Amino acid sequence: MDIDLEDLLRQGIDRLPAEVPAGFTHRAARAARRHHLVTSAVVAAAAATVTAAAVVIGLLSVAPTASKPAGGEAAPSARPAQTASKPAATGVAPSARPAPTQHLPQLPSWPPGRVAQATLVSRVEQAVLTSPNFIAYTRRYDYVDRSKLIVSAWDYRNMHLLIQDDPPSAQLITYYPQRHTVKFVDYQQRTWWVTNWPFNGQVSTDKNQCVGPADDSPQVGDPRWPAWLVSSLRCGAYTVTSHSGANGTPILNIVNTPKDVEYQYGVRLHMLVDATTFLPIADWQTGSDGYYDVITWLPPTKALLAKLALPVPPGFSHG
Amino acid sequence: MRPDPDTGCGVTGRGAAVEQLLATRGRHLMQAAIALAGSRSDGEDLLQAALERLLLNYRRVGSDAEGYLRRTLYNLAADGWRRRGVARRWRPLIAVPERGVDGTDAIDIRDALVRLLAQLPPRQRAVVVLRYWEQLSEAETAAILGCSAGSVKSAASRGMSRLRELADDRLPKLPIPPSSV
Repeated sequence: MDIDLEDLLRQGIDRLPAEVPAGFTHRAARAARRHHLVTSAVVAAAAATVTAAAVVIGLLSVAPTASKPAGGEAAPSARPAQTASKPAATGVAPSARPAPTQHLPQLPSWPPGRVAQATLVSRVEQAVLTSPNFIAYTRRYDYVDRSKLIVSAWDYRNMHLLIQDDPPSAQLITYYPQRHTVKFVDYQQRTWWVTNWPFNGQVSTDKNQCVGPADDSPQVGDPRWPAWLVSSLRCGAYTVTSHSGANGTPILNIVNTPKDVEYQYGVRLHMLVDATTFLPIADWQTGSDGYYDVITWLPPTKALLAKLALPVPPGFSHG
Repeated sequence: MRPDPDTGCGVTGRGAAVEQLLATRGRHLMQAAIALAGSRSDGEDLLQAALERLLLNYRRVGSDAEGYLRRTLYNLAADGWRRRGVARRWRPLIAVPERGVDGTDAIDIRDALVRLLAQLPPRQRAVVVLRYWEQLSEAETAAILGCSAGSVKSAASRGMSRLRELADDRLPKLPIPPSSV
């Protein structure tokens, strides 16, 4: 391109439709009030906690004995419960759309253990890079008790299927070298459509960052995710911090390090890796925006591949 | 104090002042927010986040409400405002996509460039918008973002060369608008 890029960019931004929606200030004011109330409540709760702790310490100091808590286990509240509530009924026939799976496998606890070197990182890389031999199925929950299923994802090669219950909809993204297509099915409105996008949103790597811009980081299950994880591991954005186990399966617990671009924003990402297959089986992020992913690696059977086609139920209109 | 037509609640003095600010400068601020955030919905969220901060700190801000709002807007964007929650990035994926957008036709190269802007890291994006759309000097940009003029210079240079690379790779066949040739 030998044209003046700056002028074109300037004209492009000038052309953005940018009317401020009605009630915008009021929404911001309401949010600010909520923020103020939450902050006040947190401060009050912290003060109450400090007071209560002082009282408990005072009582313990005069008690003849004090029971010792069980060591090695994380606090119960820090560990997600192993049940999930059933998503709300949507009034759509079960056969009309793919349903999120409800069953949760037994998941390991992750007590702090011996910290070891991440010598197995290369084997994790090898495992995730051969992931096209599998379909990765991911369920993403709100953090802590996994009471709310946010979205389910089915992924195979260049296909990325997302299913959600509220509102009932599904979206299949198919990536090609210079474009990607989005097939969207709205089960509530009984419509569907396909959109083409000219760019595939490849994760770019900036030489000053460990991996590409966090804004563009693919999610677990996104076809671009294995390559992204490998590049994160290679540059030290994750490290193995402990070993644990579940039902006889050894588990590696890995977390992000200061080299990860998310780390500087206070984001702590944890991942569990099956030490026999070296495939990630769970990951989670703590905090108010926390989530919990359960990752299952499945063989690409005909039935699963048919699900990835995102069939449109009869009678739905093309939007 | 007058009532809000949506909620019936009264509009406070600072609320009215902010509304007036948006009435005069809202379009410009929204364009900046969309360019920084990459989409209309994220741009609205970004501008609203900046407005929240303005309202919370209005007493301290004093008479320079617009300056504070602009600084906040650009700094939120440059500091990876959207990174506050990775989960947040997941949810928009399944949001209803825009209809009728087909990359193979009717895409203006100027619109495509604005989309390519979203491929830049947040700080470079903020610098590019400030330097080449707001047309601020390196020193003025540095003052807004709280960094050195040298950082602005390198970020602007890297941002534009990356944008040029992306444009060369992905936009060679798009029509150049008559006004720019």
